[in-house]
Amino acid sequence: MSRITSWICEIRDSIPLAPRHLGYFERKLRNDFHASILKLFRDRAAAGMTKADLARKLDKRPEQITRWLSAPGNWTFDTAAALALAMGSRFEIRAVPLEDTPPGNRHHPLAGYIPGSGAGSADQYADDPAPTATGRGNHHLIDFERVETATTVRA
Amino acid sequence: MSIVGHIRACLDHGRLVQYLPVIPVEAHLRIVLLTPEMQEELDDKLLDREAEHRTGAFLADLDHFIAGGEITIGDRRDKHAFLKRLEPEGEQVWELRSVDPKPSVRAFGTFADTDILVLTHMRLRTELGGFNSRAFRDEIRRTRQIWHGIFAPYRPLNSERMTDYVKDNVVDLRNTR
Repeated sequence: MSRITSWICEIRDSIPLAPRHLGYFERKLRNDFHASILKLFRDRAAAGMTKADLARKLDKRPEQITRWLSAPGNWTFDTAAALALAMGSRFEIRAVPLEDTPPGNRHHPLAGYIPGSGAGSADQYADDPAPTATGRGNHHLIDFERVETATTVRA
Repeated sequence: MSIVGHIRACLDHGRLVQYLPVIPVEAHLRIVLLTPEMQEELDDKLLDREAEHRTGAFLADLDHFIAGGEITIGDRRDKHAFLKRLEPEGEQVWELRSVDPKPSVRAFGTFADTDILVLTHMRLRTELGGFNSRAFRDEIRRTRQIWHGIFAPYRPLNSERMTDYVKDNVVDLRNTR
């Protein structure tokens, strides 16, 4: 049984819910809110908005904005709402069944690699030379499709 | 063989374990590789009543990262960054900071390539003392030793551009000061 199947079954059968499940989804919700705000800020920053602008709009010190954008540690729902509003947005939220697989099929080439499948010796990198002890290495910048954040919370 | 080929060989031989998300994700765009010791530690903590809630939150942070979620990245001065390069920067040791809820957790690791993070071990922040403490220096040294044991002669990814480490959906806090 895969870990994904295992967790979904565990959650369905657990009475009460296990602390690990609550810890995971409590944190995930914060991460989703934070990711939405960060993406919004990146978009606005590209159009010229600064953290100082955001601070003025929210009547906060710039250091507070830095903390909020850096991590969602001390956020409340009010924080998320205020940040979105200051960037001309609001949250639109929906709950989805756990077992629903979000749309999308974008994967890093190494994602889901099955050990022992032999791809390690037959892939596109196999002919590259190993680095020497004094070399700087031969890193590849793996190319894959540019994507946006996977989240069910949108601002 | 490239470092990616070497990683596949390590996965084949059990010297590294690929971390997989615990619930379905839209995308799997970044790779987190764990040492078997760290995988075992995570599994143990998930079964420990005292630690399982905190560990569940840590897994949510790992899943957010591998799904390509928006993250912040920085250096010593960016004390709230999700990913932070530790000093001396030439060592190329990073900490993944899972700060909420308390106690805060630090996972130490090194980038093998763009969007490929190798985590060697984890500590509670309370075990580490202040910045540049002996405990921190010991963890940096340990991370380097584990890297060397698995990857020599390959070197960690080394760049000044944060987007060489994490390609997309990243805010470089060094640029927003």
